[in-house]
Amino acid sequence: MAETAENQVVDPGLDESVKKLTPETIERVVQRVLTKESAARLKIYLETCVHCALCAEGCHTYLSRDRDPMFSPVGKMKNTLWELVKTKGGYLPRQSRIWPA
Amino acid sequence: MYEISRGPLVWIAFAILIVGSTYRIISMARLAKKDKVVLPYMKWRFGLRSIMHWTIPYGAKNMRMRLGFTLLSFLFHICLVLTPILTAAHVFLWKESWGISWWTLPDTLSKVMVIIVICGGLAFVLRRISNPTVRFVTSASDYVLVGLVLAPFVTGLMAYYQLFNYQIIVIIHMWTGAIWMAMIPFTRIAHMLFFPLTRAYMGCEFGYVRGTRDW
Repeated sequence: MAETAENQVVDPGLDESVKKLTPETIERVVQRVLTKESAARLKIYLETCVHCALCAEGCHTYLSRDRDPMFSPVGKMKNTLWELVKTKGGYLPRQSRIWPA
Repeated sequence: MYEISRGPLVWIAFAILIVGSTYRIISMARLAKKDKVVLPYMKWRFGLRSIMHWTIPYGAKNMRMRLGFTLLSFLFHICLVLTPILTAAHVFLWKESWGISWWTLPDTLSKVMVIIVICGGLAFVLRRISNPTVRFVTSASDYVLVGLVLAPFVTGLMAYYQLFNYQIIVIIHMWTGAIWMAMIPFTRIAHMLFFPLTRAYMGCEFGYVRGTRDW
């Protein structure tokens, strides 16, 4: 993961809450979002995305980070959502701060 | 083998295509009803406006930012869809089987369109390999899909010029064409079924909900 200023920020609210998460909770919430809350839209977007990366030019985060592929919209999806959907909320990406490893 | 490819295989391919596509569209519509924010926000005006801007060449800012690629993409997609329907060899087969026929492309134009599709597909693959942003999100399935789409066109051109052994090439052409058709509802190529609906929804989310443009 890119070493940015954000990675060195200490956020007690986030860190303490994250410690209370269990894999079962994460899986349950992710499943609910994927199948109930955003069901049709998310499913269709994920299934019709042809990985063309034209979305990158529209993202100011991507542009301001010298076109780092990690920060293109589809790149961000790849790092997070694709893993979550593939493992149905079971996989916890190690490098990410959000999920307890 | 030729008899099977010319007959039952075509039936099976079209059946899978039509039934599969219907199933996918209906199951998406039903899922969309469950998703509480989709149907209430769909409005004809904003949906159509977005579709219009994104299907007209250079209608969207993203298209105007890349003039060459947009041209390539439009040519590729238009030739991809029109060639199988309008090429004389295919219409001849329809006339042979069902007695119906329609206007056909002149052979030269047909050949040019096939070459456009093949060159476009290869250009897309090159872009996938060379552009780091695209490469980051590319996996094997992306290359397989391009190969799957290009195979009927390459073998069709080879059959037209009777390169190698015509009988074998034309059978491969029919099989790759049938596989391609059957795979449409079940792969990313389904974007051809869904794009009006997803585009319309984006138009409504940006236009109706947020009061701004999405092109």
